[in-house]
Amino acid sequence: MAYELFNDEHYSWRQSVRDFVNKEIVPNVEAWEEAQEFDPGLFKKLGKEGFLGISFPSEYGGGGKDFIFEMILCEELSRGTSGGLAASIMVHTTMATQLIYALGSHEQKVKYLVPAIRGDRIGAFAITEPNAGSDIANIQTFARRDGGDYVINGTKMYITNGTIADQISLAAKTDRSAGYRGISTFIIERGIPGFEVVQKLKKMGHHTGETAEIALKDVRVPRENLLGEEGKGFYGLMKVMERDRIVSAAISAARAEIVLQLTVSFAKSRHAFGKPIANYQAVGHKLAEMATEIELTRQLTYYGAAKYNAGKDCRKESAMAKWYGAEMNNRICLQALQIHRDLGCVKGNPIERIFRDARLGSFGGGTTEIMKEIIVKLMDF
Amino acid sequence: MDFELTQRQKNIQWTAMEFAKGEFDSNLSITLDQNREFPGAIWKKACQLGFIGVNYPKEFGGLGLGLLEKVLVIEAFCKVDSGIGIALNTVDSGAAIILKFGSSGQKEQFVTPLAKGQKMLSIAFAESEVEKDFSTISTEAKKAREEYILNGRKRFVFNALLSDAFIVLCKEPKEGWITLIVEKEEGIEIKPIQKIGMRMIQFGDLEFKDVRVPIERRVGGEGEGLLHVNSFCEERGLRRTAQALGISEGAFDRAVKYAKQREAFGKKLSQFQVIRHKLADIAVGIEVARWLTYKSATEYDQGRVKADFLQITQLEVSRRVVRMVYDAQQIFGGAGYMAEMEIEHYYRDGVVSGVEMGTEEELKDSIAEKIAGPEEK
Repeated sequence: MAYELFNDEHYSWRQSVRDFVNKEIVPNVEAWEEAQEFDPGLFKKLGKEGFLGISFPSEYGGGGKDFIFEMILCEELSRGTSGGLAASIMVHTTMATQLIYALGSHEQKVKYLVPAIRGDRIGAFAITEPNAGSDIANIQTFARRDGGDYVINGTKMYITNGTIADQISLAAKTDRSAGYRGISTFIIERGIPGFEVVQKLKKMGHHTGETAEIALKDVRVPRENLLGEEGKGFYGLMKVMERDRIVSAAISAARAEIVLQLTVSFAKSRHAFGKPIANYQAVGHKLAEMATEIELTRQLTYYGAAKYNAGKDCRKESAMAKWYGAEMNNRICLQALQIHRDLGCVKGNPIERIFRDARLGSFGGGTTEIMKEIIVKLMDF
Repeated sequence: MDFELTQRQKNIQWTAMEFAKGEFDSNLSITLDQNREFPGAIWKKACQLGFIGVNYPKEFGGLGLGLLEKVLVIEAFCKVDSGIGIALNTVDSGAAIILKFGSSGQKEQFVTPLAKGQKMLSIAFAESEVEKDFSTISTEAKKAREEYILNGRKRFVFNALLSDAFIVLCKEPKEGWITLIVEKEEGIEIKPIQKIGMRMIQFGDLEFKDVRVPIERRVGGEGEGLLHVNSFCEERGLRRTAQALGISEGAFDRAVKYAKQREAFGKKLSQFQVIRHKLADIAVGIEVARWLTYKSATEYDQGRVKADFLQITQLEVSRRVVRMVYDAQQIFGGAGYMAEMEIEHYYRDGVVSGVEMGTEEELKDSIAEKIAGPEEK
């Protein structure tokens, strides 16, 4: 299907990312998933290709393209069938570096954004804590002012790239009594005294992703590591989350599309009781429903993406597409398992992996329930 | 109509629950799941207490009770831990065939050791993912004097690596469909398969190359193979719905506990209406699954089970279990995605249990045939 959102340049960009994914990622997916880690050299390759900074201005080494290019990048990475790997790159390009770009000074961009765009430094993005997930205003990590420095204490949980990141874009409270207005954002470099990767977390899926729990004990950073103004971090975080939600919805649709393609070709080639599975009316209708739901998600997502790209408010559309896409993706994986029967449940079949990976969609970057809270608050009654 | 369990049934249920609470450990279970290991020590103890042979006759090491009692045990075990519960529910697949159609020698040799925890048995029918499409089956046994020479390949066999023997569905040129008990040591090649869930048991593909099976290992008579399979699938179907029921209850218990302790936005999750309603939905699903399963098992024990009601039971329980474990995991948010939380394996185990119960289309086809008559080809 052709979409008005894309011009010829977008299409050729999509093709070049797809070629890269097929060459550099797909052949390694099984091994990386099994080892639960990937070759971090991949970031340098991605940087060299200009993938990591496609939507940043050229003065920082970026590609100077629009947000749509970045979304296409993430869609195509997801087609590589390793959700963990796609998320690792997405967190770097769409979250960690975006926060630096949104809130950072020119000096901070030169110091942290430029090497991240080159792929020389890997980024992570840390808001979530053991006792504060959806409830961002309730984070406990605290940055105390001490002369010209900040001293930071706290624990960050489920941090993608946590084990491999060179720099972490991090949210902490600078005023405990001020709720959202007490949140500030910092950039923390790995190896700084008091910074510790507590554990690499084992998860249901996203096995290639490096998810970690991180502790900060009296981590002392100079004022130059504060991103933006003190107490104004929340707005930057929200802007990044909005971007993330559009990309996350696009990933859900792309991933569901892969599942549908695999399922259609399976249903056409496998027989049950004398005819191809796809020739059974009920299975055919299931496939039709899957295709419809994917298209619904995609249309909503691309509508939100166009608004975001034009600098318009898309908080509502991004929240809608994010939750609907995640739930849709899970439904489609479950349908695909039904159609594949035992074969879909077997390790080594991409359906098995995508099923486990997709489940994160309804928690990561804000749960389905939180998205609905956002939507209802934005509705005009 | 009486919807109460008898005192003896309640006792069995209580004993199974106490045993599981005492022996199953959540850390052990997470470790076994991650490492894909079988809970061997717990299995031995469960056998000593009679839990595996609940529904076997006393003369073959059992307690002489019905399938409903077995259902209660499976439910309790899966409620306390989905992984261990599933493992203990798959150590004696096919015992029902030998008990119903086998000789007393076969029962003594192959069923009694199951009850005692000395051996494990599994079934090997399917050769593709469409188990009931018998036209796909090509495993052949050729009778030659005192033995059958077996050749073929079976797929997705439960507990393939640990089972000591398998009941194999095959075709003999003269005898037609038959089932044979084949011992592992008779030269079966086994290739392991790993699945999304049910990780404490290993699945496998079996290959038979000129495997020699003594003729006394044929179960029942000539041409009875498909009868054995269909009869077995009734018992297995009910054991699977019991498994799904227990998994749903276990997922529910954990979700309730988490919702009551976890706070967000200044209150417990259990104080949010949407979370409360998710819990209510799961509670409804559990009742539906329970009464369909208990009714079917009761009728099975009374010898008046109806195929279409069994299919209705399996269809609804398979749909429900997937939804229930999904909702339960959702309550945990991101924490539920972590392997260190029990709900993570409950979700995978619940989904695989649902898928294993048969496809929606196949079950509906059978139910619809009763309603609308046979489909014209």
